[in-house]
Amino acid sequence: MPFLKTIYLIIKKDFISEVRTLESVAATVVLALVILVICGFAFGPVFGDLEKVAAGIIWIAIAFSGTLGLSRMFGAERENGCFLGLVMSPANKGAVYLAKVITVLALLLTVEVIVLPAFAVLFDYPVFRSFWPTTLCFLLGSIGFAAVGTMMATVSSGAKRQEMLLSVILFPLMVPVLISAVRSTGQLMAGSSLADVANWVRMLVVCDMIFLVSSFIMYDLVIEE
Amino acid sequence: MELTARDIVKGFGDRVVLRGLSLSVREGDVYVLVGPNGSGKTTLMNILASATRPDSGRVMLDQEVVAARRAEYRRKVGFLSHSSMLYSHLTARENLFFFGGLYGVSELASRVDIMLEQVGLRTDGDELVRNFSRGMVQRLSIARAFLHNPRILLLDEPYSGLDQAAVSMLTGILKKFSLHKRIVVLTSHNLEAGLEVATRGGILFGHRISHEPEGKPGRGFVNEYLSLIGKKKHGAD
Amino acid sequence: MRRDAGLSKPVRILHVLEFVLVCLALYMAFIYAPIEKEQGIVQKIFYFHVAAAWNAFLAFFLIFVASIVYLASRRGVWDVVARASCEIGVMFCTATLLMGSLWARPAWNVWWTWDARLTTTLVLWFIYVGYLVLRSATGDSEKGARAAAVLGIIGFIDVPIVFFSVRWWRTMHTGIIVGRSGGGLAPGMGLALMVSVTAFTLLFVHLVILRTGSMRLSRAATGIWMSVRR
Repeated sequence: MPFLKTIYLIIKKDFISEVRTLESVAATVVLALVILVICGFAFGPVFGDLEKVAAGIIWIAIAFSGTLGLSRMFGAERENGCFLGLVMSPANKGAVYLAKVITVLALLLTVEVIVLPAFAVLFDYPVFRSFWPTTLCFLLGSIGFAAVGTMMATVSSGAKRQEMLLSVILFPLMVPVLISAVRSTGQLMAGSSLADVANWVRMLVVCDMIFLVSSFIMYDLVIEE
Repeated sequence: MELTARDIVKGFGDRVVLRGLSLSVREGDVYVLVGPNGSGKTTLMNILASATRPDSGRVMLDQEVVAARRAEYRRKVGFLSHSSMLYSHLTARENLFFFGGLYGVSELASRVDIMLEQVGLRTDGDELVRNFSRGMVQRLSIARAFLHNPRILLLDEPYSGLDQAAVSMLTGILKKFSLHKRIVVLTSHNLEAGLEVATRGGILFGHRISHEPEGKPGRGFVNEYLSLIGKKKHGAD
Repeated sequence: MRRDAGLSKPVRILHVLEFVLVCLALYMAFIYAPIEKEQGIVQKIFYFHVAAAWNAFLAFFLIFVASIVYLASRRGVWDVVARASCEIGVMFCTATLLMGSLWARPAWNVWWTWDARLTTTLVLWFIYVGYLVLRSATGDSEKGARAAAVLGIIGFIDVPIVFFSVRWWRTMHTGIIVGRSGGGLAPGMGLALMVSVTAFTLLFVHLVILRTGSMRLSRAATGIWMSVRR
């Protein structure tokens, strides 16, 4: 099926390219860690009510570094006009979108795999008190970010001051995802059960679906020169 | 098969680049488009390739508007643009396999080998593109454009960056290519090379095709073009 | 393009009506409507705050519709309508936020409350600003118009989910829970509100039409992609 094949080809190409340079991944991870450390200075040295801010700190790190990673990834694609090459090919543009979302998601998950243990160490906080529910919420939040982020990165690609522009247009759209992700992961890390945060999980799922579907439909329009 | 551009208008901000431009190319034609710098050749090529939409006017393939069925049209087009459209961190082979896969090229492995051979990159197939010289990048781009055996070839400055051997190589490929009912449109600053393959020509000047002789462009065409460049240099318009 | 001297009769009547209604709204808000028991005269900001907020959201809806029509038809005028609506909308949105703040201070002793409606309006403001920044960063290009249209559509879809998530977020916290003043409105207040909202809606529409007109003129004079008939 050409649709799935397209997705596979693009993901494979992105992975090979990224693994060879580690350009985007490295910058993203480093920025995330820097943010954690800065928060350490901002809220420390003794961390009293960590429950209230833990999720917030982690998601700030993910959101800001994720935006940087997004910029880098799409910047690299624009280099040499490769994006044009993709546009000119008969590849289904929705498939291109999904492939990009998966690549961005992989980037975010990589960052989280490093940031979460780092947070646990730096702040002495049991991040994985309830492992699977917390992982689920981080995953859902990341999918939301990837879905909207990929779309907005494409919308803003080629424009002047692209990084600044991306942050400005991405943030307001991310609000529901951020609120839901922070609330749900925060409560889960503080000991609540999955049932307690069911509302937030539902909201995350709804947001993810809305963004994925609407972006999938409209991607063709923004990808063209 | 006929590729037609009719009444193309395109501008960027305040600047008009193309206005009232019409062009028609039939299969078997190798149309060489020349014009002074900034005359809009690249813009026109982008429009013909459907990479950019014109502000008004349309591009038609056999009387069917291209914009209506873009995906199908693009399948038939091989486009060589100013940017290489190659991924620097992939090898030449990986690049060709990627695009070949997207275009659904059959027997991809052997096709890739053939193309690499034809552009003289057989031994460099597993080298990263970022290590390629300018000429090698250009040759690989050419391979990429021809890879899926397109019926329509649009080449924007294909000779740029090529040494004499590579120029002959490209001329050879083009001559062979055009024998099989293809449409080729190319722009070129290298008049000599361009005219060697051309069966028709046109000068892009004053936002449209200002001069388009019947049949193969010859001395008259060259003179007209050179005088236009001369005029531009002295600021007269 | 019509010259101003030649405005048609119904349009001029509309302008007069608008002027009358705005004056009427001022009268009704300050003099006719009764003074609210708890908050006193400060509460009267409500009539203009709600009117501005309504128009801010109306503007956004207009951007949404215009964006869809633009993407479907590719007629440049719809892109101009969206853009004009955004510019006027951001004005009304700023006014809403400022009035909200000015109201909150004497009424509840804070400059800002994170209640669902005000916060959603703030996020809306950011989406507006993002839209304008996007337009400025992409120049007057066709690609920029498409990109902005998509942003307008996704942004609009985003607003209700922002509202709900903020509302849930708020109910998790104790603290200043602010509702609008009371449940029911005294009868005089309701009427004053309706007049105010109608008056300012007319004003909003008038401003959008003016801005659209001036943008079309400037585009016709300098650019070509909008002025060319498709």
